[in-house]
Amino acid sequence: MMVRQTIASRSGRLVAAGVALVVASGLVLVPADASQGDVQRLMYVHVPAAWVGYLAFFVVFACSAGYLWRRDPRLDRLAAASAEVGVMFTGLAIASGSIWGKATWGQWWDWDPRLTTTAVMLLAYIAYLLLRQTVSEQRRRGRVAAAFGLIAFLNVPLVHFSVLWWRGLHQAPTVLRPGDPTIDHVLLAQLLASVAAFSLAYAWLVWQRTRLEGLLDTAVTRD
Amino acid sequence: MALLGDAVALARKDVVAEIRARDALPAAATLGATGLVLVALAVGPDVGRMRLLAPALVGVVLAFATVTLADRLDSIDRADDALVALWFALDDPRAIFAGRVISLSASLTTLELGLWLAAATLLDLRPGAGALLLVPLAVASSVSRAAVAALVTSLVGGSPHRALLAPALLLPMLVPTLLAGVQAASAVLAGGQGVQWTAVLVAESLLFLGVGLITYGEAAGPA
Amino acid sequence: MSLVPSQAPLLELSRATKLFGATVAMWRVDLQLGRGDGVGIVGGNGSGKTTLLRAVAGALELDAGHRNAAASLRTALLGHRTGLLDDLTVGENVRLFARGRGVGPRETTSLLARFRLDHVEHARVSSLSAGTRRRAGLARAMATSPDVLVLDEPFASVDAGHAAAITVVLTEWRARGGTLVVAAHDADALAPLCDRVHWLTAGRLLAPVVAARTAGGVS
Repeated sequence: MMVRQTIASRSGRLVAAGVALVVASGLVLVPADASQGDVQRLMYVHVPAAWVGYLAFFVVFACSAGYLWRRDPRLDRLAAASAEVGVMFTGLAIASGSIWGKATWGQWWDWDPRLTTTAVMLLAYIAYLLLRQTVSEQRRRGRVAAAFGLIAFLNVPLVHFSVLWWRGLHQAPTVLRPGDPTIDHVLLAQLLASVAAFSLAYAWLVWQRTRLEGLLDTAVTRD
Repeated sequence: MALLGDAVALARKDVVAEIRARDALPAAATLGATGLVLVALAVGPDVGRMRLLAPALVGVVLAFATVTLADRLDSIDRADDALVALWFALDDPRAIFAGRVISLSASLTTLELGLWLAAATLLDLRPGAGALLLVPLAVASSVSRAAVAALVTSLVGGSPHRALLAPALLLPMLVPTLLAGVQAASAVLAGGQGVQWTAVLVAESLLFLGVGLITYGEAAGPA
Repeated sequence: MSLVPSQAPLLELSRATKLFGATVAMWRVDLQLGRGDGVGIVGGNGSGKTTLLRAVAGALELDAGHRNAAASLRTALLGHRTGLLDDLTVGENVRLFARGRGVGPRETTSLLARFRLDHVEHARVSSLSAGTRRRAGLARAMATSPDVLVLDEPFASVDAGHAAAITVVLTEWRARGGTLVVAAHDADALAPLCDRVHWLTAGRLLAPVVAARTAGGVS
C-alpha cells in the first residue's frame, strides 16, 4: 500500500510537471499563429481537452458494455472515474472554445455541429453522474449506470449528424485528414505534445479516482 | 414470438389502464396545450412568426410530454410492485420494455396528432395536402421517443429522485428526435417531404430499440 | 416428508449478505430449500425479513455470498405490496400474470374460487379492501405456477375465515410439491404452513425450530 502511494504521488508530480511544461511552451516558446495571433494558443488547451473528453466518454462506453457483460466492479469504478474526469475536460474544452470563438468569430456560442454535439454530450454525462449519485445500492448503481453509459455514447453520433444536417460553421478538420496537415510543423508538434500531456493527466486522474472508489467500496462491503 | 405476444398483452394493459384512469395522456395533453398557449402568448400576436415557430413548439412540448408520460406509466407499474411481479412471471422480461414501447408509441402518436390539430387551429397552419404526411411522421417520431423513454425511465424509475432524474437523463437523449422531428415537420409544412429527417428518426428508433432489448434484461431488473 | 433434504436442494442461499449503506440487512445467511418444503421466518420489525425474502425470490443482488438455483426455477413473491395493477380488475390481473405459464382461463377461474375471489373477479383492484387485495395478490402469485412461493405476512388484514381458506390452498399446494417460504412476526400463524421455522434477528438467521405440527405433516 505504501509503495503504491509513493508511486502514485511521484507519478502525479511527473504528470503535473509535464502538463506545466507543455502549457509553458505553448504560451511562450512556440511562435504565435500568423493569422490569428496569440489567441490561437488556446488551441493547445482546447483541442487536447476536447480529445480527452471524447476519449473519456469512449472509456465509459467500453467499461459500461464490459460491466453489463462481466459484472466486474472494477469496470464500474473505471467508468465512474472516467465520466467524472471527462466532464471536467469537456467543460474545459467548451469554455476554452467559447473564448476562442469570441476572439475569432466574434461570438461566444455559435451552434455549430461540433460545439452543439459536445454540449449535449456534456449534459448527458452530467446526468450520468447524477444518476450514479442518486442510486445508493452499489450493484444496482453499476447496472443502471452502465446501460445509460451505453446509450449516452451511442447518442453522440446521432446528435452530431442531426446538427450537422441542421447547419454548419466550424472550420474543417485540419489535423485528422488524409494528406499533409495544413498547420505549421512547430505548431503541430506543440499540439501533439499538449494532447499527449493531457492524455497522461487524464490517465493519472482516472487511476487515482478509480483507486479511491475501490477503497470506498471495500470499506463498505468488507467482511 | 412469446416476447411479442407478452409485449402486446402488456401494451394492452397500459392502454386499458389509461382508458380507465385517464391519467397520463390527459396530463400530457394539458401540458402540451398549456405549452402552446404560453409560447404563443410570449411570442406575441404575430401569426406569421407563430407559424414559423409551430414545429419547434410542438417538438419541445412533445419532448417534455414524453418525460411525463413515460414516467407516469412506469410509476403505475411500480406503485404496488407489479413490475417485480411481472419480471418473475414472464418468460422474457424484455417483453416489459417492448410492451412499454408499443403503448408509449400509441399514446405519443395520439398526442402528437392532437397537438398538430391544436397548432393548426391556434397558429393558423395551412398544411394542405402535407397534413397527411404528418401522420407517418408522427408515428416515426413517436416510436423513436418511446424507445429511448422506455429504456431511460426503466433505469431511473426505482429512484426516489426520479422527478429530477427522468428529465435530466431523457431530454439529452431526445435531442436527435427533436431536431429531426422539427426539421421534418418544417419541411412538410413548407410543401416538402423531409425524407432525410425521417431517416434520422428511423435510425434513432432502431438504435434505442436494439440497445433496449439487449440491455433491459441486464440493467432494469430487480436483481 | 423428511426434515433432512434427501436430494440436492432446489434453491440455496450460502453466506448471503446484503448491506444498505452501513445498515446490515442480511448477514451470512445459509438456507436450503427442497421440493415441498415449508419454511417459516419469524422476526420483529426491521429484522430483515423483507430483504431475506427478496433474496430467496431472486429479487435482490447480494453484496456477498451466493444464491444457487436452477435457471428454470420459478419463484413468485408476495411482499408487503401485492404486485397488482390498480386499474385492472382482479380477473384481468390474474390472467395477465398467468400468461405464458400455460395456466388457462379454467385454472385461473378455479384459482379465484379457491381464494374466494370469484365475486370480485370483475372489480377493479383499487376498489378492494386491504384483506381482499391481499388474497388477490396471493392468487396473482400462484397464477404464475411457481416452484417456490415466497410470502411476506400473507395473513395481514385477512380475517380468520379467509385465513383458514388460504391455509388450505397453500397446504394442498405444498402436498403437490410446491415449496413455500413464508415470513411473519408471529410464529403461531406460520405453524400450520411450515415444517421448520427460523428466527431472524438483525439480519441473522438462527437455526430452525421444528414446527409442532410437522410430525403429522402434510405428507
